[in-house]
Amino acid sequence: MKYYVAHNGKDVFHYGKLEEGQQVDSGQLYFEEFETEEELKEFLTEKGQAYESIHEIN
Amino acid sequence: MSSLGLGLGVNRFFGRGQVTPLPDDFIIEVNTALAGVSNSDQFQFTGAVGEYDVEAYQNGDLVASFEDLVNEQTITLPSAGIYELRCIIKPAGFDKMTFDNGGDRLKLLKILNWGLYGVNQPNQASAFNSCENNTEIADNGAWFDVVTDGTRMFINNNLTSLPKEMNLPLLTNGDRMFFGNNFPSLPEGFVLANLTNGLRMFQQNSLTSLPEGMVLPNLTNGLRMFFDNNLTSLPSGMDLALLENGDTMFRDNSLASLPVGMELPLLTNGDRMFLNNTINTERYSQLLIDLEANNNNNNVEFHGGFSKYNAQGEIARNALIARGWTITDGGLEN
Repeated sequence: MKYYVAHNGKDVFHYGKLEEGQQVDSGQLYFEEFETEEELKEFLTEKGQAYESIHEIN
Repeated sequence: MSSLGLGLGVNRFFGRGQVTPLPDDFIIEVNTALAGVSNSDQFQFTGAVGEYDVEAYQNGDLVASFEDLVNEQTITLPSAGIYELRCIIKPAGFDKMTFDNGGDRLKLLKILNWGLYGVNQPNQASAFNSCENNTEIADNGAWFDVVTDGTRMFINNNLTSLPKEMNLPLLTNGDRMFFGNNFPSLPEGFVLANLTNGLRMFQQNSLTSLPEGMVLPNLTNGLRMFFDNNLTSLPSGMDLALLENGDTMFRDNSLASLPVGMELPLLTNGDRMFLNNTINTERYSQLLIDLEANNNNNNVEFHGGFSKYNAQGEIARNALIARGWTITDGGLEN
């Protein structure tokens, strides 16, 4: 299981969790992978993005 | 024995212990012993807006009455226990309760009769918010045909069904209205023709299907609307032509296909939209083709769950990605 962010370095940040049997493709300029959700969160925070937990259901 | 006529020219009782419900009364069942802000022999009409008298019954017998109540009031009953409370609505009306996740929300057990509740108040936001012990709402609410804003009205109640007469024809804002109940189905005729905001409206229920005709022609915000249900199909004709936000809308259901004509031309956010569904390859491929042809938005995030696509779908998918889309799905079918 991996976490990813596809972004343009400015104002577009697409992020999520990739599960077994799934693939993700993006036309954004940058594509980053992370082993943990915490790393993903840190990255988004550094970029000044509001973070919504992947696992949040409420 | 009461003999209040309320200007109706009739007594409220007919025969020994027989109570004849008057249709204009708002009637609820409460258990005063449950947790709340009032004492164990009391009930607070939390956030009430209206003018009303109250008659309290146990086993059909009148045990207490209270006159000339206005807005939020706390009544003291003979002892802790379960009571049927009849709110006799005065001419000024009874617009709403506003439990709003507080007050004596846990003491409410059932809404037995709506009467004139809410007939002049289209905004029912947070009316029964988090009445977690409420298992039943009555048929024939006049407010059904009036309400436009149902934000959090029944969020986190314990309802297993909705009245068959309920169709909410004027509702535009259903934000979390029925979030966290236990509906396996919705009433026939529950089509929500004017709904624009369905944010989390049915999240965390147990819906297996939707009524025929619930095509949601005006829906623009479907954020988490059906998240965490058991839907296996969607109504014919549901094309979601105006949908902009589909984030998590159908996540954690069991959809294997989509209605013909669902092309999502205005979608700007499809993040996790079909996560954990598997649309059949032909239909998912057609969706990709239709998105590429009809949706002019760039930089859209879209999740197709575990759905796979064919060669034609791949061409469309690649074209969308070239426009800055990020698409997650089950990949190219071998």
